[in-house]
Amino acid sequence: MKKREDIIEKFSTFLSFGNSSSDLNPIWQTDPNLERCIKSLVESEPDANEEFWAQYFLKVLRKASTEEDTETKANGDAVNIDGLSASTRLPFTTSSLIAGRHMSAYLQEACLWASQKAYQRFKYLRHKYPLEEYFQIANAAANPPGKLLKNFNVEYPLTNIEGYAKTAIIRLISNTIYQHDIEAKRGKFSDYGLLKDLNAKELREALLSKGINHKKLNSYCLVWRCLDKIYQPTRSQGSRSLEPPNQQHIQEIAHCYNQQINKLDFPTAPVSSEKVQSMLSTCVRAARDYRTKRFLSLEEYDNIFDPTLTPWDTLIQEEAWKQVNSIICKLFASIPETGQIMLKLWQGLSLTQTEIATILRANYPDLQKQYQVARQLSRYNQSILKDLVKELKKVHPDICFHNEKDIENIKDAMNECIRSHCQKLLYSTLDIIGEKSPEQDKLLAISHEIQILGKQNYQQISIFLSEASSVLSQVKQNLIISFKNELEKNMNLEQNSLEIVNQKISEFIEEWLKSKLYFAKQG
Amino acid sequence: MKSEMNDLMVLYPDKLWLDLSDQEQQTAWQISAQNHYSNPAARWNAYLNCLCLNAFLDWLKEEPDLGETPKVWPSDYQLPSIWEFVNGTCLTVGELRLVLIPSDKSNLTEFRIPQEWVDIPNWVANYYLAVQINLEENWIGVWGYTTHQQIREKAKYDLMDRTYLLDEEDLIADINVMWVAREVCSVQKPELKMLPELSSVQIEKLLKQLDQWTPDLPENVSEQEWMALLALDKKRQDLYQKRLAKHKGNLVAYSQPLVNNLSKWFQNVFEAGWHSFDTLVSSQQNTLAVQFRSDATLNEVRVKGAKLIDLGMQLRNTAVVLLIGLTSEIDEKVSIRVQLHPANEEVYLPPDLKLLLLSGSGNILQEVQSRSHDNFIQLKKFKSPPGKSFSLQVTLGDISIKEDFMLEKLVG
Repeated sequence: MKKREDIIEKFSTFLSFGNSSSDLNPIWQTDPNLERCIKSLVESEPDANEEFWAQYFLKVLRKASTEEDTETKANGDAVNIDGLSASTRLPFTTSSLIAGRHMSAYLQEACLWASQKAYQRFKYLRHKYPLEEYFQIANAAANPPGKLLKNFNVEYPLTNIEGYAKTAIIRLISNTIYQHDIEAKRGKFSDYGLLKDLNAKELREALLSKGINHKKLNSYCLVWRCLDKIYQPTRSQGSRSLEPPNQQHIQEIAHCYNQQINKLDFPTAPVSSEKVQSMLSTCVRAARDYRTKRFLSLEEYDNIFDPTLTPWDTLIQEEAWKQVNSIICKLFASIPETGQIMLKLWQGLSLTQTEIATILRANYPDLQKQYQVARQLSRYNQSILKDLVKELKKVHPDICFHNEKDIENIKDAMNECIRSHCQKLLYSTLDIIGEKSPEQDKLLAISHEIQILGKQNYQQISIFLSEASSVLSQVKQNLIISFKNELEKNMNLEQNSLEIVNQKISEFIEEWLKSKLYFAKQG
Repeated sequence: MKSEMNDLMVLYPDKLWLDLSDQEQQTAWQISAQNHYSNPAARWNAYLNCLCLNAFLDWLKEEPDLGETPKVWPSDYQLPSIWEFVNGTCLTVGELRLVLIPSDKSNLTEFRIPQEWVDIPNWVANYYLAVQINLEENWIGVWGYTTHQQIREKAKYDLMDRTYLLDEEDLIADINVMWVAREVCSVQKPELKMLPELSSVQIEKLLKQLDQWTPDLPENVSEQEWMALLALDKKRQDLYQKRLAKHKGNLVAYSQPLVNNLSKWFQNVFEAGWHSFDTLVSSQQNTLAVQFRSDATLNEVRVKGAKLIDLGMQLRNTAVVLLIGLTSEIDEKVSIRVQLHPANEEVYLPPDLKLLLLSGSGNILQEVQSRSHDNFIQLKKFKSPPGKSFSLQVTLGDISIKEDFMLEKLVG
């Protein structure tokens, strides 16, 4: 797989993982229709860059959705179109459907980036997903693009669409995993426990997918709301195992409902207790189906194939945040050493706060418990963020951060930059260790071999690597030991304190090895 | 630590995650369990808010750069009169006002902010925090926050439950941004909408219309009137008391009033909630035991019963121990000594705590009130003849707890 270079490709090709599981190298597939459209657009505006086109398509999408809103509004108020100030009369005509597809194509790299990051970061969750699954989740999150980019501010100079999309997709991947987890727990709820656990939005969606029509929907929601208010758990652990409500509750719900329909002007007749009971039963069934609907049996993934040696990651650079990145490097060096150590462990090695506390405990009296680590980390993050905002204000005096969303955008970029900066610092430690190591020559030889094979095909690399695996694993073992010693010394840690995170260190070194083997000659 | 919470910290590193112990749950549950709320919904609401407030406040107090001590608004003692009516708890940090809005639902894809916190001018806050409580898995997560301005600009209003509604993606996930924003951009002054002014006739009418809980506002009370009434601290507390009284009245009609039979105490039989002195003291910390034992006035006493009383303001564990000592006298009368001590490792009683002795018909016979540094307060020793009843009442702010007692005629 190559990185897409020209604008036409970027707005007209989609990543495909292929059908055979042995070939994990994804390829770019062209959509001929999109290719035709973007070609003619580029011809009419040859100097425009990709961000220009991305913003143009986003504007088309926003305009279309605003017009839709306006049409549905009976009174037809004049609507001020967000992000479409006077400067942006759209110069071309593109249908919103096509614009959406162009955007989806454009966001493919952001999706890939996000799924790789998710794959790395969420490796240690109890349930594991393969990379392809993350990519699917990312794609679902990125579509429709108009929704994904709803809060993106076109006027804001410090971040571009791709950068914004990356962090937004990662967030949505987290939400999807959390959602799966909730669905996986549905068996732990009684009928009414589950019904009460839904929020109003979920109930509405559940009823809609159960085929309840819009007219009746409000009645069902109202009955549910009365239940939610009247029927409360009687134990401190909450409502998971709630029994069905008794007759008295049902009567109260009917009474409450009948009062409310008058007040809310619902065009429905009053209900009896029997009717309430049957409506609630429908809600229960809808709730069960809803919490099952997207649930995948996660156990299936226990033995997933780990595409350990796929060289995609480094293909995708953090270009979107160049400016932020250079400031972060400066700011990072200025925080206290303890802070640097903690951030390296947290963001660089992906240790949990509990692990960090265990490692630092012996030599850092203030850092005994997870919450103390959490608090310190959040202090350092806060101070870096504060300084970052000040620095950016110096560079761009015209920007004002009057809105908290602006600060949040910057913060997302900051997190990514801190993360990659910490990883780079640790990589350079590894570089030094690697150069001194007796196996340096072996590594170079393997890397050289891969460079030659790389021109032919991926499969042969796999074969070659499996032949070289015993050498590689020896190299790796030695590196792990030296790396741990080095870190324990540099970070003033108790000897052998990194033993408990062996697994994570080993995987970190594997990533580094990959980058060495594949890209040794490039930089 | 639970693996669930570990996973959450990996999935959402920007959010604040706090542990919730069984002990904290039990305490909050007991406190909200007492008869401080007129209905199960309010009681559940109080339980969640109490958990949320305690955990968040403990965390906030250790925030080193805060500068000012966070305070509960309007005051600890007034919380029940808020939680009876509305979900949410307000904190102030200097000029800044935050409202915590807890929910025990698994999925916070939407954030519902009760209208009262947005539209009552003196209740309005700068920030609104969505707090998720998972009672089974023992954690609390701050899911994100929003500003008053954002609610005004973006939120939809849901008539059905009178809340303002925001999508999850409109929230700011990291509350660190809040502290940074406070320094970097000027804090927006919330834009206020006026509420109608209520005449005293209207107020009286409303107090009557609302004195019993209904799942939502009665048909003949408008949102505007409702909020205008809640805005008045004094009237809101009146309404709260009325509801409690009415609720208790209803309860009395159903069940036998509970009278503590002191005569049985001589046989070591105590009513529910009461313990022999030794049982209770051994469950409390040493200081209390020492205090009691070294109190000469109680040493001569034959029977001592004690009860742990939660005063409902719950926060910071405001609980006291009511201690009663009985000595039978030659003339068949029993002499009675009543003391009130702080519980839960506190050294002093809360100030302005009242202990009252009431006659069977409800007249005040004795009254004492704590000052700011009292270790305990006590009534003058009194005698009660067999067959007569009396009551003891403990009062703090809005809360008052009454216990009825009687002595049987000793047979033979």
